[in-house]
Amino acid sequence: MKKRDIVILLIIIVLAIALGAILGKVILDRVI
Amino acid sequence: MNKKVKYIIFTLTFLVVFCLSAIVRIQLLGSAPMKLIEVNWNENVGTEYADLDYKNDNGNKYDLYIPQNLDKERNQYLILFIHGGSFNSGSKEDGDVWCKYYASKGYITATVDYTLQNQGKEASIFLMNEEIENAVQAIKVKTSELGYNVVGMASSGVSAGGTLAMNLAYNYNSVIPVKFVFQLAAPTYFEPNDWSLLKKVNGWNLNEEFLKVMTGFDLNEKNYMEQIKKISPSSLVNENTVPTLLGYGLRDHCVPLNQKRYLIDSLDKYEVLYDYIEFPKSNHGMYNDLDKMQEFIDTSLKYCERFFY
Repeated sequence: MKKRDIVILLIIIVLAIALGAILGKVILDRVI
Repeated sequence: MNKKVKYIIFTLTFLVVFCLSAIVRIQLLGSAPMKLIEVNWNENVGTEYADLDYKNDNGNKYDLYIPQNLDKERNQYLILFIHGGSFNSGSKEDGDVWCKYYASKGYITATVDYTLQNQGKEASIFLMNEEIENAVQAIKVKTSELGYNVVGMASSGVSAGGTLAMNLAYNYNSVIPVKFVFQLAAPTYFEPNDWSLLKKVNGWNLNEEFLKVMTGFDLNEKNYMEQIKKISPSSLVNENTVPTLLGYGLRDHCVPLNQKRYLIDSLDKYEVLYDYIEFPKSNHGMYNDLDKMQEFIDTSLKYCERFFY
C-alpha cells in the first residue's frame, strides 16, 4: 500500500466511525 | 496491489467499522442509565439467592438479594423490581443491576419473572398480578426462613413492569404492605383505542383481540370498561393510594404520552402524594436525560427513608 492509500483508509475509518455512531443513535431514538 | 483489491479493502473496512461503531454506540447509550447505579457486587455487599420458586403454573422464578450484615433484630424492607418488555418480553435478569444497587443501600431486593404473552399460554394482566402477589408471598416466607422480619415494601418497575408494580401497590393484595411505588414509563390505562402501536406490533387487528389478551375475557365494545378498569393503575387510584414516584420521557413513542396524564389526573383527584420527573429528551429507553435519571434514583432513596418505617 502506498502512503496515499493509508491516508484514504484512515479517512474511511474515521468516516465509518462517525456515520456508524450517528446510525446507532438514530436506531435507538427511533426503535425504542 | 491492483485497484480492484484496493477498492474491496476500502469497502469492507468501511462496512465493518461502520457496523461496529453503530453497535458500540447503541450499547454505550442504551446502558448509560444503568451505569449510574452499577455497584461492585461481592460477598461484602450482599448475597444473591437465584432462581427461587414461587407459586405459579409456568415455572417462573425470582431472585433475592440480601445486604451483608443486615440486622435481624430490626424490621426490614423489601424493594421488588418487575421487568418491562410490553408484557411479552424481558426477564428477571433485567433487574439485576437495579436490585444490587438498592441492596447496597441496605434494602432486601428481589426481581421476578412472570408469564409473558409470547409463551403460547394465557397471560392476562390479571394472571400477572396474581403471580406477582404470589411471588411476594414466597419472598415473605423465604426472608422469614433467613431470619428477617420484612414489614413493608416498595414495588418498582419499568414500562410494563411499572404497570404491574402499580397494580400490586394499588390493589392492596400484597402480604407485605406496599408503602410506595416507583416506576418509569409505565402504561396506566388500557383503553384499546389508545394502543394502536402495540396492536400493530402484535398483529391484533381488532380491539377485541387486544382486550382478550390483556384481560383474558371475551369482551366487546359495550362490556369491556369494567374489566379494563381493574387492570389499569390510573383507575385503581383512590384516597388511600400509596405515594408514587413516576418518570416519563417526552419523546416516548411506545407508551402514548397521554398515559402519564391519566395517572397524574387520578393522583391529583384523590390528593395522593406523588412526584413526577420529566425526561424531556428521552424516549422509552430513558437514556437521554442522565441528570433526570439520577434525580429519579435519588428521589426513590428519599422515599425509602421517608416511607419505610
